[in-house]
Amino acid sequence: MVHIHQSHNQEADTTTDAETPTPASPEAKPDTPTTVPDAAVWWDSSATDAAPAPPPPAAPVVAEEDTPTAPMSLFEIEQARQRLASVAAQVAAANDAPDSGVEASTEPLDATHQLDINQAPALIARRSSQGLAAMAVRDIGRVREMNQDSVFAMITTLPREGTDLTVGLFIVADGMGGHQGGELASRLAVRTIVHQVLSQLVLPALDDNMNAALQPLMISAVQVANQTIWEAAQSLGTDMGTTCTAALLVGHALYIAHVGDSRAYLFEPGGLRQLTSDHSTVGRLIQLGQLDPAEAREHPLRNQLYRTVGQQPQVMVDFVYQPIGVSSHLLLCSDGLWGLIDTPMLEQALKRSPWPQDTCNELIALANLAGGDDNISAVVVSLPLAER
Amino acid sequence: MGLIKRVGTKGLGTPSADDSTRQIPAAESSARVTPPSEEESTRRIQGQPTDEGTKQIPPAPSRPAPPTPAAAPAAPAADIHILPTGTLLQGRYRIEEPIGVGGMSVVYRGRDMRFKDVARYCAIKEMSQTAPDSHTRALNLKNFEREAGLLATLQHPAIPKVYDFFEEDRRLYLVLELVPGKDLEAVLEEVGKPISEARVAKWAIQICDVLSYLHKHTPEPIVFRDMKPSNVMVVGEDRIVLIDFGIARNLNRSDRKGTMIGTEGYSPPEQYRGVAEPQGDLYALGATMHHLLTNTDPRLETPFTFQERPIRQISPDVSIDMEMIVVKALEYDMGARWESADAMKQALVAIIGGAAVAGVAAPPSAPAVAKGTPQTELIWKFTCEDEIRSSPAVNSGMLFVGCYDTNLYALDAVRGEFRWKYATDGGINSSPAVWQDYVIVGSEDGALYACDMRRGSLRWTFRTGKPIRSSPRIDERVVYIGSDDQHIYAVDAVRGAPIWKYRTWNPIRSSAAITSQVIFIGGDDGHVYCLDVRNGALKWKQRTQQPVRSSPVFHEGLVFVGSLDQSLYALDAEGGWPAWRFRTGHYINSSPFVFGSRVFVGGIDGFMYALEAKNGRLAWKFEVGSQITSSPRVESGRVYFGAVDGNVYCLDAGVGTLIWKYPTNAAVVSTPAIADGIVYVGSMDHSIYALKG
Repeated sequence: MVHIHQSHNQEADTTTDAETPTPASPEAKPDTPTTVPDAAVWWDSSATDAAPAPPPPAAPVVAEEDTPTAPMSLFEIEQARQRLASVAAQVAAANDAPDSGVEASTEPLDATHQLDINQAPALIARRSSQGLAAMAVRDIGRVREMNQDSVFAMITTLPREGTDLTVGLFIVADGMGGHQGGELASRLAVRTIVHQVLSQLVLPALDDNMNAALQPLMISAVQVANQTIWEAAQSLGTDMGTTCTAALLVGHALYIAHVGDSRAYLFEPGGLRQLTSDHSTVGRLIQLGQLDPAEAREHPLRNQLYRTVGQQPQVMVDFVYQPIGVSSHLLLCSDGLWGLIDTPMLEQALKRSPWPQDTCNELIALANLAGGDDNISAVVVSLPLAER
Repeated sequence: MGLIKRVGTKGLGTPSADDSTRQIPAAESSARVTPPSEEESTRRIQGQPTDEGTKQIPPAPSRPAPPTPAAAPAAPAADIHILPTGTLLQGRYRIEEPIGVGGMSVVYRGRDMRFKDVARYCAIKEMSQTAPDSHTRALNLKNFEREAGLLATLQHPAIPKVYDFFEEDRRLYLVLELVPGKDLEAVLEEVGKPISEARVAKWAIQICDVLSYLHKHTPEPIVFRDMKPSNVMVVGEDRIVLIDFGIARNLNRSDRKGTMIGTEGYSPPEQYRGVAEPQGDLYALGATMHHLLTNTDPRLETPFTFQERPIRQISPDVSIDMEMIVVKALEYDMGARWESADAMKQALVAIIGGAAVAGVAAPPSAPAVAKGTPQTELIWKFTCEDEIRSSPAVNSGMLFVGCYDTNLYALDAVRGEFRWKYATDGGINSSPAVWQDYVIVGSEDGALYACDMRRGSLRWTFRTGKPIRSSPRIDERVVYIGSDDQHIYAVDAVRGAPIWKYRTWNPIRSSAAITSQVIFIGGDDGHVYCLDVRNGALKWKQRTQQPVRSSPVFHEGLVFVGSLDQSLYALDAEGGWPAWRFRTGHYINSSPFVFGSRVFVGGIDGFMYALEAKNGRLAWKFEVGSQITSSPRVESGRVYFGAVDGNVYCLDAGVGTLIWKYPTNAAVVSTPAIADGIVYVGSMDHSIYALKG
């Protein structure tokens, strides 16, 4: 609470400072009762002009805006926030006389106040077409009699000293192997990975005892899944296996563990980008420029994987670390989707609705319209806005 | 729609309505669903190479892990018809035992009973017809006949002779010279480690020889198409015989769009486009040699990754020449490979001839240092009155550095001339920072000093309770500094007034990394702290096992920092949890530096490390042999740092090789600053050096 008040004071002070060219003079004592500051104050780029701090790019048009709650772009909010941060620092400096010694707060402040009060008007007004939400859907397709795909999506928050952290776990596994082996393998993969992440990340984080590193955690989760499926396959006498693409979202970064030819895509402003590489010989040849992607669609060996989960005692797991930046969506899918729907259509579907559920349904409908010759699964995640 | 369906596909099957996972009814009437032509799918890992030819039955079931998955439940093996011992074919050939089972054939050891008084053995290859459809059966038959006809026309010591060819009981038989020996795969397994270069060269020369013979075959060249260790037999004194001509065929140039035949891992890329040219055999020979020289099975590796597994990295004894021969054979582009088997053979012969000479005379990679050292030019050197542990800051043509003689020095960066100095009341460990026209530095006397950059006059001081060994970091007019008094301070850069402070439970020797929202800083209490820039509120703290004196750097959502627990950490900037950690052999005092996709850090264990920032994978490490506490700086593809052995090092940032080193007269713990191609660094010999390499 104290902190909030402080920031109000600083805010009010900014204006005074702007009028008095010598910021050193400690005459402006901010004892006036604080109100929620008028948005115009921090809209106005001239408010900081008097300070020697970095001159913000002028935004004169915005300054004339008369409704304080007019919608702002993210960029503007960020600009305003940064301006404020520096002004606040200066003002705080001005408040303490240079030789008053160290009187700065030494008590640990509670940083759980996550949004600056000064952003409130803009945040109230903002309506986004994007925000953290996820949906996972799997469909049998039009040819198969069994659905051997498994999907998973979970979003949660975990406590941290100051800022609580948003964490998501998203998985697509595409099983293979007769006599229900494929179904079993993909389900075992999902089950094992979720168990691993819960026991090694979620629960320790709740206990404030999280010391495991995320990259090895994700890799070993898939390796444990491999072990589990391998052992089950041995005892059942089958050769079942599965692909597995598992993405852990921590704040604004993705930690992806991947084996096989299911894919993870990130929808960046420039378009959809594939984050994983397919573990098929054909995929590898495309990567090397030795095979044309068009040729590959019909290639007799296109489904042949050189790495899977559960078909060998050990598995090498690909790992991808990827900050989401300003990307809007994460898409995980099995080849039943990406094999039938080309990238521009995927992009269109992702753009069409803000709801991951709509998008999932549309993607599956499209794949079925294109033949649905395999099981189809999609996990669509609308990503948190890049506020940082 | 694909020809190939996955394992587990039961067939067309209309979409069953009761399947709960089905989301959208496929209402379309289109009945043009493609029939799954091959039930047993290709969608499985090829742990067991599914070669069409003969596979020698392993003498003992002592194979390592890989091929087991298919082997255990191997259904096809049971289906293959195997003749019992004693069966007599054509009233002449007696079956002794099966010696190999392939995709569509069984090979027996047989005895020709026509030679009554001597035991004359032969190999009898029997066509096994397991394919369910008549088309495949016909194709198999054709292949078999072709092999027989082809082999019968060939005459080469490395190609088994054909004795007979007949049909019996609707099965086809080929009677061949029995090649007594082991295939190369079995040989490699027995040896259990990479095979010597000389031996591999000896084999490869013979293989080139026989390939050359096949490729020169008229009217049309024969492409073997399935060169791999298991198709090469070694007889007696390392003589080579090719077996399994199951898929070699007359090269029919009109038939380009064939199906892929060959063995994954050994087959060249163009074979996946249905192209089979003589150069493909050279690629496969290269792959075979790579396998033999490194003992890494390409069937178990990511396809087409030979370049990523350089031979000499795995087997350092192999000569550069040998490696180059294999590398050239393994080019993806057919035109870039050896133009013929003869050309490759000649190159191999040259190695064998020159092996003795080359092996002794040329241990390379020494010249780099020799030519590097004299190139390093000392531009100037400035000597102070005590050790320099502080790292120089260069700005606007001036250099600033703190010295243990209590002074903050300002020098002309170009000529090294003295400009001014400011005396504090204690030695200076902290490294100065420049912001606008302020130079700011901490001192052992516990104060933070801000001087005018041009004249060295004091602008302000800010006192803490204990010595300052942390270095100031400045952003948006705020100075962040740690002190031995256990606090982290934010100080107004213009007036030296405190903005906030944050209390920890041990001295702070690390320096802050600043983003627009937060700072990251390490503490002697072993924590890395993430504090709000506005008010010093704790966002998170993450514990390492030992004090953190290294200074964090922030890059693409990760915070890199070393700890005295011997690890370099990459922490998730938002959560603070480690994304990865990399363990070294000793403390990490050095602060990491990020350049491009890599993070560089020095260790007390005497190594400079270059790691991939995103996953912590080691790109290279360079051994200095003495402690590195200096932090690396990277510029124009070169890494600069100092070491306790007194040298300033310059390495190639890409590969970690030494470009030059420059000796000073005492340990270099200062971190270099680089400006306009000049490297500035302080030494414990009391001097600051300006070097050009």
